[in-house]
Amino acid sequence: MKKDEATTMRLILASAVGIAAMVSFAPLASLAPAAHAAPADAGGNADVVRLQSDVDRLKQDLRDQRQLIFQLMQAEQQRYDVILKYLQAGGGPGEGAPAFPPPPSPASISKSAAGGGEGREAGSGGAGRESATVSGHVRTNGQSIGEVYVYIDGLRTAPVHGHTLEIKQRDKQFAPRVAVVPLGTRVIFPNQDTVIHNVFSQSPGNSFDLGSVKGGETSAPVVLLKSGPVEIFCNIHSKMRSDLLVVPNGHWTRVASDGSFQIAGVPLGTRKVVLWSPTLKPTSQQVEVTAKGGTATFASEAIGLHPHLNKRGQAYGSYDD
Amino acid sequence: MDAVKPWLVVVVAVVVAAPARARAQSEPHAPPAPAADAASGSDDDSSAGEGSGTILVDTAAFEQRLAQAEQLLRNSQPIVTLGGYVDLGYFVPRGNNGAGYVEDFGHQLFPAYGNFGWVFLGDILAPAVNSRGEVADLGDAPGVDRYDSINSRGAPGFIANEINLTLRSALTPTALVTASLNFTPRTGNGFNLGDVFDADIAQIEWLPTDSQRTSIFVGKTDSVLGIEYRDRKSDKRFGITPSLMARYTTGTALGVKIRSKFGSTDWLVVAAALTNGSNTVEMWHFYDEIDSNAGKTASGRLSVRLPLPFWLELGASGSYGAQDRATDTAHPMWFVGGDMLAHIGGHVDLKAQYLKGSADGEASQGVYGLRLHGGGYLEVDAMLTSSFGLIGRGEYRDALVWLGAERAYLTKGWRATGGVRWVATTRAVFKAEYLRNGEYGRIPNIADDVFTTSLVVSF
Repeated sequence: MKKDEATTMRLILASAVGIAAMVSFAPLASLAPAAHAAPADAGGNADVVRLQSDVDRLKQDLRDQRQLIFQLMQAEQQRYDVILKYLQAGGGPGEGAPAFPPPPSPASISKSAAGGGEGREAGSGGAGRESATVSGHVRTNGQSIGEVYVYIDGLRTAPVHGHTLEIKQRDKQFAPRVAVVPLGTRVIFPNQDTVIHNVFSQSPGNSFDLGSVKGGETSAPVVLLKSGPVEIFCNIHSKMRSDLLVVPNGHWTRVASDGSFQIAGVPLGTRKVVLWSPTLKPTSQQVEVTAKGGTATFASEAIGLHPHLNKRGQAYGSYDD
Repeated sequence: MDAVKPWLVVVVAVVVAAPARARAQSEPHAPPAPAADAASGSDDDSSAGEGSGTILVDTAAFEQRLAQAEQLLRNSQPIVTLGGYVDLGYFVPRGNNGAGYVEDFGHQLFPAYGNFGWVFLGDILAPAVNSRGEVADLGDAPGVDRYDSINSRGAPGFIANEINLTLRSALTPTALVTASLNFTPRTGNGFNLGDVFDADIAQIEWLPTDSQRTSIFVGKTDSVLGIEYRDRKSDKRFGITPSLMARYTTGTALGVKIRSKFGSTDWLVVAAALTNGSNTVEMWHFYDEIDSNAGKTASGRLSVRLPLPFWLELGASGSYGAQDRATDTAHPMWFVGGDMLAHIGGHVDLKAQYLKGSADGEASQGVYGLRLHGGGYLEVDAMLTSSFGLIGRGEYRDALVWLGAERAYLTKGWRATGGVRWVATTRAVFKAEYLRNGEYGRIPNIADDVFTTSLVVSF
């Protein structure tokens, strides 16, 4: 019991420190726009520049630390997988079993790699288990199907490392406009226009604000650490929009022009099949995947691209374009 | 670096605690996953029952804390956002003491205008030195006492062209309040300060529709005539100086305005306004802020964007209303014109505008008359690299401005402008321009060229 109490105390302490740090740093980060906009009463321009610099650095630190924490937790997960298998195999000291793997270090996890990809088997815990194909159809009421994707939610591989997506800003548009990327993808945003852009997203878990970036420059990369849709905008040009789907595993595919789709290698069991497109209402189905496979049928409901607000939660106004 | 250290502590603490929390949450009274995750059915890590779900729950808790921090950030947005710029310059008038006109003494050159007491040739606003359109010198025209804001007497000099402060606030997410305030430090006179304070925008913009493609404005708003009003401010303008037509189209007026976009690609834009007066610029003698007559000015613009591989927008606009400064509505003032805007290859903008207009004036009320026979410009803005660009503009203005039989200004002028633009940083732009002003139609050439520079630092 003492060990459990100590463990609980350690948990509470770490959580409290973590929450306190996030809450205390978040308002500081939120000062960035205000400091950027209102230097006059902040004790002089030098102070404002220094404050802005501090805020930018803290933002970058926050991104780095988020990524680091996530990587460390994933590495821990892998470590415990090994330990669990070791225990399930009845291993232990003196029985010739391998030693416990050491705790992860940032250096070691930075070199680890795991990846998703179309038709790939889910990594964690998926090796060796039975799988089948999920197929189905998307009804479109005679309209062009466009860029529509289907993926299996609820299965997750470790986030990938080294996978980078480049979203260019050219002619006041993002390219690509739509993309599917695995969890852990780094995204870079080169500004190939001759005007300044301010790329941001407020999608939960993947929010970021790159600030003003002039033409010809590329801002710091963003790592996508939460699966799901990510809406990316420019705070200056309201018509700029890019939609990403961060998939939690390799079980996804693009719906064919006739509305059909197939996802191979889905582990057996009850699986959540999700239909996603920036212009369709998000829909999902629970599908029982047996050895014979599973079937899902969707009726798409077009919702179009709804207008969005700027990073301050305000309409852009009439003359942003 | 000291500020980072707490984070390192947190990282270590969270990582160290992860296994412990994982074990704790694997027990029967472990807290449920966050509602957001439950609703979206997101990542259960496949491991519920497959070996390593304990770590997953901890990840979900971390994501919940992250979501809370993000929400905190969003809720911490300031009520009022401040922006603006400082525009500093150095200008060199090239002759005629910085003034843009000469007097036709004894009506020797234009005897047909002998019915006017004084006749001046040239363009009083030709030797502009900044984006406000201020000229190097207003000259010494007899019979008037004008506020000559720069009054350089032809000497080169440094100038703080404008210090702008723009305040924006949202009454609701779709109702925006904007105020743009300009400060222009100028020479005083008679122990009075010459500094000018100018509010050029004070508006509420409401976007009433879900599509946000219609805006209704109330207050002192931008013009709807032509296209130059869009980049009239120095932080928006590619070059430095306004065109010869800007004096008729870029002024801000008090009233109401509506602007709507139509079509799947917003290819059709319609704007209309009802204002106190015209959209002439405030320092020009046709403007009035508050009307002295009951007649209002209606103006509108319609533009279409053609389905081409590049952006090509064609527009037509006009205005009609009782003449500014008149105390009655007997004499209308009107303008009509066309415009074109093309974005080619993302690096080149082509702009063109043509305008004509008329107002009879009323000498008994001190109101000037105008015959704008025509005027227009063609401008090319090209960014050769991401930081370096060139501007070229050719234009002309053919007009007669008069006040009763007292005085007349006869203009048949052209101007060629060449300049460079250097985007030093996201907040600092340096610009330089040379204005070659010329005359035609028997008006002798006036040596009123100007070289001017501008450093615009935004904040």
